[in-house]
Order: sequence, then structure tokens, then C-alpha cells
Amino acid sequence: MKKYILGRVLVAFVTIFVVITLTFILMRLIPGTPFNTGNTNMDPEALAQLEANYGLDQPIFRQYLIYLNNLLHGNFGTSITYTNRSVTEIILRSFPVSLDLGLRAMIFGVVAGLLLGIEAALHHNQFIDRFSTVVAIVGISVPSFVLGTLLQLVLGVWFSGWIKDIFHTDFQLFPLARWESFRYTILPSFVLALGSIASITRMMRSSMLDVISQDYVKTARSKGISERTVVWKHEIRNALLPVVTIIGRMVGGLCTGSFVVENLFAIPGLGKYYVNSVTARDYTLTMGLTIFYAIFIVSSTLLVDIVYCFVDPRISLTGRRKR
Amino acid sequence: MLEIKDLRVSFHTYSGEVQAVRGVNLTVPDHDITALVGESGCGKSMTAQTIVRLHDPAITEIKSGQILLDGVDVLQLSDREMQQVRGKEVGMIFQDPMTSLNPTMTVGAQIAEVIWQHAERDAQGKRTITRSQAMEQAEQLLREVKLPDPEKRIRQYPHEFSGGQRQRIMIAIAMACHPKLLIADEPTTALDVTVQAQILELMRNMQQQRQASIIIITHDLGVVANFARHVSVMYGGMIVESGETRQIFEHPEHPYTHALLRAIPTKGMDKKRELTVIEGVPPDLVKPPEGCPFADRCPCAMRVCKAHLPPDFEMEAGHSCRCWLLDPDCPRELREKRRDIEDAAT
Amino acid sequence: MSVLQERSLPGEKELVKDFTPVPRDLAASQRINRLSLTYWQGAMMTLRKNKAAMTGLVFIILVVLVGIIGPILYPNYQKTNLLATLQAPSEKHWLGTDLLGRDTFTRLLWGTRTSLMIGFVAETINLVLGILYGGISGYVGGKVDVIMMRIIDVIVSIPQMIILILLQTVMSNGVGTLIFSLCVTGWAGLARMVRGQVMALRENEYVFAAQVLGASRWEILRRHLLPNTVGPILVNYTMSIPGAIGAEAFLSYIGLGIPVPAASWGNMLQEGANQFPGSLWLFFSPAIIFALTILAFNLFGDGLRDALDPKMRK
Repeated sequence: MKKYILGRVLVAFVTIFVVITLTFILMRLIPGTPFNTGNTNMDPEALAQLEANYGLDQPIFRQYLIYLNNLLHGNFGTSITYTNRSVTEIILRSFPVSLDLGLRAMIFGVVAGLLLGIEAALHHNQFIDRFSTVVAIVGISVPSFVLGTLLQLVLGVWFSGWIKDIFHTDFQLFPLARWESFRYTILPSFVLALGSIASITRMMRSSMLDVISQDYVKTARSKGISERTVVWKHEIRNALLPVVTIIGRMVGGLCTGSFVVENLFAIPGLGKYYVNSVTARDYTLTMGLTIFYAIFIVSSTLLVDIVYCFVDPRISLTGRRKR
Repeated sequence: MLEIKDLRVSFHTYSGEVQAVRGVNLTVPDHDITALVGESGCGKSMTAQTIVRLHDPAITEIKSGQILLDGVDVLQLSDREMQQVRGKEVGMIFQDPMTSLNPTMTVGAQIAEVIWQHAERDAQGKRTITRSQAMEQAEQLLREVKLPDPEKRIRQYPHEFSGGQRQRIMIAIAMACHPKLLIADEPTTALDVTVQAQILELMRNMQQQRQASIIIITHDLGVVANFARHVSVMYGGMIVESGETRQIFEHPEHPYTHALLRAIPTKGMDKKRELTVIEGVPPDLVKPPEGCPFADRCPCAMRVCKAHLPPDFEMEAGHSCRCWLLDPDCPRELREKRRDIEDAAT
Repeated sequence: MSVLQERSLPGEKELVKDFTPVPRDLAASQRINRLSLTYWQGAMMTLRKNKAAMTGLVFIILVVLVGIIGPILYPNYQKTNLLATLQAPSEKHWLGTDLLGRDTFTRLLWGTRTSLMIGFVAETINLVLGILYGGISGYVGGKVDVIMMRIIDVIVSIPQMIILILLQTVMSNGVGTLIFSLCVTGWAGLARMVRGQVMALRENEYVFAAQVLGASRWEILRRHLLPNTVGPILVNYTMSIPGAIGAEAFLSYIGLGIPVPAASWGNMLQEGANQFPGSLWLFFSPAIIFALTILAFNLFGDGLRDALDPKMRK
């Protein structure tokens, strides 16, 4: 197991390193410097001063080393569009918002997905099974920005208008934008969660169906233990294991989803800054956030994989799964 | 003690209704070992599973019949009452020890689970043992099934054991609550030959110590010879011949039993006699034949065999056979000539 | 000798004890009452019976036809008309007009072409790259294989969306860039799968058995490699196309991807969302066809996977 974990950690480090290097090279391929891309009108002297500050007058390999060194010290550079704000500061300010949104969506997705998946498998080919299949396939097919817009229209605009007509109040149960109290979080969390609900439902359902037909479930039943114990202790417990790994992979999907959801609902999270930085050609910010995202996604996937090792007794020294 | 009367079980597949068990009558006496022998797909496993109702209710249908366990029809019991039977009255061992144990539970927990479930309760309904006592009993059971280092191994997971060891653990689970009946569904098929004998030996020892009965289901007559007292041979969803092991081995009446016996190698076997195979394949139970299921493959088949199912004829006490050759009206010379015909056919 | 039980149920034909011997009829015993099909016949039959999958397939074919023929019939997708902006659907403009008075229906036809092209071209390139890389890695084996697989480990760990956004930032936006960025890492998953199949084939006992039985290389390829590899690859291909189409929509939606005046589902969705909550047809006409297409690919892919897996057939 040690060898397996060590290997995974090594791959994670190499991955992050590759992303950093790639980001650096790509950013240097852009004509001009980050400060001289045509959309800033600084005077040449100040520009030269700035470039010197960032070491942009140095040879490229040296710049790379400087950049790596800065990263090691948690310095992701300075934003161009948000003057005088460092990338690190932006991350510290907006990441908690994204994390909040992401965790809500994740909890929602895991709980709903597991329940649906388990129920579907236990009532195979019955109504709930068909229903969960529909939820899963719709969740996978309808992207978050379509669903989000649809829900904003129906619940945010039509429903609010209707409330206003009847109760003569401006109260909005599902506000269209911002991130303030609990009711602001309902729609965005749901929209962000839908993809996870779909994939977990699918995975849990097929994993459960697989386990249900296993011999050891028959053994458990032959012991005369109650049906509830058979389902919980023998079926669900074993069916959960492969699902745990996709929860790790979900982190990446949630980050991508949050790019859209945060923009759609005007939530001041990291995803909104990321997308804005890209459209505003704020290269240092894009670069910093890209690297931050890569580190975050890679390490959370790694973390889940390592946890998985301890949960599943079959992963032995070789890292292979045995029967 | 166990009596199966006219059991008929079907299961539904995309190709249609498979009549897996078509009127099985079987009596299993107390403190004894009975074998149910037949090719795969003859309905023997289905019969065994139905005794403890472990069949998949979604696709399986019990058409008719009674399964009397000490006079109580298990087919009429509620699910709750059935739980009291499983593990406590009847223990079960399955074919593949590699997949029969829960991979994510320690073997100790899996044995203790059945002990805990059927532990005696006091007047308030509380169990009279603690969980740690259940674990201690589990450890004791591992000792009984002759697994080395039980105190250490009890905390290990199934993948850390070999196939033979896992089957020992299965026996420990099945025998944990001193059941009166042990159903062993092909318990040695997936094991190495050397391990097979050890497992059979262990099962017999446990049976004798505990004064239990065993139903062993197997396709291997060789396993049966030194192990079971009674043998029932199944073919095409029904029992075609049954009797004491000695009677079956010395005087097989059914052509199918005879063919099966000729297909096993024996030590003192005549060197000139070759091992024979039974040509043809068993009938498809989606559309079972009207007559004797073996008729198409039988070298002694007669017109009546194709058209009508033979009734059960009893030759001597305990030995009965479903074959038209045994009908009192059947011409004697046909019966006398049949060994020659059978020999000629192979 | 006594008869234990003489069953004679009502309706059963009369018992005539005719003891005339008859010869053994092995052919009758071997006559199989169930259908016996080859792998591909069975797969095709299962697939054809799967209504959802077949609906998906029909829809995919229709959308592809629309994407090919539509733009030929309605070529003027860039024609603006500032006198007729944001018009509601009418006889003249079936799906209304956008902010610059362009006909939404015509743009939708062109958008369909763009989006489908990106999906099919990118994933076909990934298919070829994946088969080549995985095939070589699995075939050569040894150290080369270990190194090639470590590279894959790294590539699949890089979040694809980050690569997409990064490359869209650096390169000029457009169909070419988008396809290129989808192909930078997109082939890795398939390569890993192909490599696994080739490895399994090299080691599997049934292949060894086939060799011992004297099967030729071509026979092994046809009977064992193809059914075992083509199935999963086909499923993977079908399921990855909606991913690529979705990536285009996502990127265009956040303002990268395909720039106007070209039309794609993604940038039409973005334009529609900008008018929100007015002019709903601008958003919903691309949204509906987009979601249905993704759904169709998923349904067909699911059905294909089930059909190609003999264990699922029964």
C-alpha cells in the first residue's frame, strides 16, 4: 500500500509541475508582455519599470525559476485588471465562497445520488428505477448553464412575479443573483449538484445491482439475518466502495461547473474571477488561478484515492484489487 | 425430518419459462448424509435453494409442492419465521468459496454475525450474550474447523485466505448455530483435489459431532461413494433414481445412473473397459419433453418413453427408479438385454 | 415391485404402454429450442429491441442530416437586418431574430453544423491517437509501456477544462483551436483502455488456447481482438462526442470558443442568455436541440454498451 500511495503522490507532483511549466510556456508565447498587450495605455517608462519589477527583462529560463520560487512562497503574482491586488489575495478572498458553494453541491449530490441509486437498485425495473434513470440521463444531458437559466426563469422570474401578484411583496425565495443568506444558495447549489447527482445515481445503481447478485449476499441471507441488515451491512457497504473513487473525480467537475454557476448567479467566487480574467486577458490572474485549480483538483483527487486505500481492505501492498 | 413433496419450481428468462424443478419428491432422514447428484442445469441447486427459500423471488416461481422441515412447511412461513430457519435450523455452504464471503468484513465478524443473530434472548428480549462473547465463539469455531492461529486470523479479511481455508470458514458460519441440516451446494467443486478430501472429512466430522444431517449437491459421483448414505440422481428437473448409496452403486436401475457410473474412473477398473461419455445433451427445460427426459439419449428407449413420463417404481426397500423398463408389463428380455445394449451403444 | 404413484392428470393423453424399442435420437436431444446467435447478431438484436437507444440513433442521424443539408438550403446566416431585431417567431422568421436581426433558424442550422463538426472531428482524431498510442504501448510492452503509461497517468490527472481554457486564452479563438485543444489530452483515456485490451489479449488464456488450437493470427484478431476491443472503443467514442460538443458550448458560453458572427450552439446560447429574460426563443431554440442531441448520444451509447456486453443480454 505504501508503494501505491507513494506512486500516486509522485504522479500528482509531476502533474502539477507539468501544468505549471505548460502554463508558463504558453503565457510566454503570447506576443508582448503581460503588461503590454495593447489594452493598457501606460507610458513606456512605467511599463519598463513594471517589467523590471516582475523580472521580465531577465532571460526566460531565469524568469521561470523566479516564477517557481514565487509559487513556492505562495506568491502567484499581481492581477493586471484588479490593480494592486495580488492573485493570492484574490484567491484567499474568493475561494471560501467557491468552497462553500462546492461543498453544498457536493453534499447535496452525494446524498441525493446515493439515495436514488440505492432505491433504484433495490426496486430494479420498478417506477423508482425508471425515475432514477431519467434523472441520471437528464442530469448528464442538460448542461448546468441551460438548467440554471431555465430555473432562473421559472423560479426566479415567473414564480417571484406570481408571489408578487398574490402577496404584494418583493420577497424572493430564489434570488437570481449574489450569495448572501441561505435562500441565495439553494438554486446555485442545486444547479451545480445536478451533474453529480446524475453520475452518482448511475454509479451507485450499477454498483448495487452488481453487489446484489454476488454470492456473499446469498451467504448473508442464508445466515437468517434480517433483510435490513443484509441490505445495509452487506449490499450498501460493498456497493459504496467504487462510488467513493468517483467522488474524488467529482471535484474537477464541480470546479468547472462553478465557472458557469458563479457567472450565472453573480456569485463572487473563484470561478467568476477565473472566467473574467480570461475574457479580460488578465494573464497573470489566469496563470495563477490555473495553477491553483490544478493543485486543488489534483490534490483532492489524490486525497480521496488515498482514503480509499484505507477503506477497502482488498487494496494490498501491490495496490491491486483482489477478490 | 426433511421431506420434499412434489416440488415444482420455474424461473422466468427472456427465452421463456424454465421449468427447473418438475415434481421432486425427496426424504432426508435424520443424522445422515444424502447426496443429490446430476449434471449442471438438472435442477439440483434450485431444489436446494428452495429449501431455505434463497431463490430470487423476482424471477422464480414456486408452482406447487411442500417442503416439510420437522413437519412444518417452509414454503408457508412468513419472511420473519424464515429468518429463524436460515442459519439456525439449516446452514448452507456454496460452491465458490472465493466469492461466498463478504470481502469487506473480517471473517470473525462474519461468523459472529450469525451467532449474534440467533443468540438466545431472555424474557425482555435481550440477547444473553455480548458481542465480544460472540467473537469468542467465532474464534472457537475457527479452531473447530482446524484453521491455524484462529486468534490472529479472526481479524483478517477473506482475501488473506486460500480457497480451502475460506471453505472452512464457510463451514464454520454454516455450523455456528448447530443447525439440524446442512445444505452443501457443490462444496468441493471449486477446490483442488487434495483439499476436496479434507473439506469432506471436516464436514463429516462436524456432522457426526453435532448429530446433524447433510444434503450434499454434486455432479461428481466419486464424491458421493464414500461420503453419502443415500443418493438421489436428478435429471431434467426430476429425481430419476434414489436409494442407498450401496444400492445405487451396485444395482443401478436407471440407464442414466448406469451411464453416470460408467463415466467415473475406479481403482480396480477393468483395463479393457474405457471410460464412457454420455452422448447428447440434457433437455432444454423451457420446453421439457412429454415423456422421460432421458429418452432421447437413452440406448434402451422405447415408444412409451417418448410419449409418457414413467412413474416411480420401487424395487426394494428405499430403492426406487423412474424408468419404463421396470414396469411389470415390460417384456423381460428387454430388461435383461439392456446392459448389452448399453455396452454396445458406447 | 410396486408402482408408488401413477400420475394421470385430467387432459393427459391416454397411457398406451408400447414397449417397442426405438433408436437413440441424439439429434433430438441436441436440438436447441432457443435462438443461437453470433456475438454481433446478438448485439444487433438487443440494440434494435432497445427503444431508447434506437430513438437516440434516429435523432442523431436526423441532426447530422440537418447539419449537412440545412446550411446549403439556408446560406445567409450572417445577414443582419437592423430594422428587424429581436423579433418573436413568425412566419418569416420561424425562430425569430437576434440582436442584429439575424434569422435564428438559419443560425441554428449553421450552429448545428459547427457543433457537430467539432464533436465528430475532435473525437475521431482522439480515436485514432488513442488507438495508436494504446496499441503501441500494449504491443511493445516492457519499459516503453511503463514510461508511456506514466505519461498517461500525468495527462489524465490534468483537468481537461483547464487545458481548454488555457489554450483558448493563448491561441486565437475558432473551430481549429477548439478541436486542437480537445485533442491535446482527450485521447488519453481511450489509449489507456486500448492498451489494457491489447495487454489482456497478450496474456489471456483464451487467446493462448486459441493459439494452441492452431488459430491463425488473423483468426485471433478477428474472433478475439475485434469483438473484445471494438465494442468498448465504439461505446467510448459514442459517449465522448457529447462531451466534446458540451465543451464547445461551455467555452463559447463563457465567452471563449467560437466567436460571432460564426454560429455554434454555444455562442447562440450565450447570445440568448444575454437577452434573458426577454426574447426567450433565442436561448431555448439552441438549448433544446443541444440538450436533445446530448441526450440522444447518451441513450444510444448506453444501449450500445448494454448490447455489446453479453452478460447484460441473458
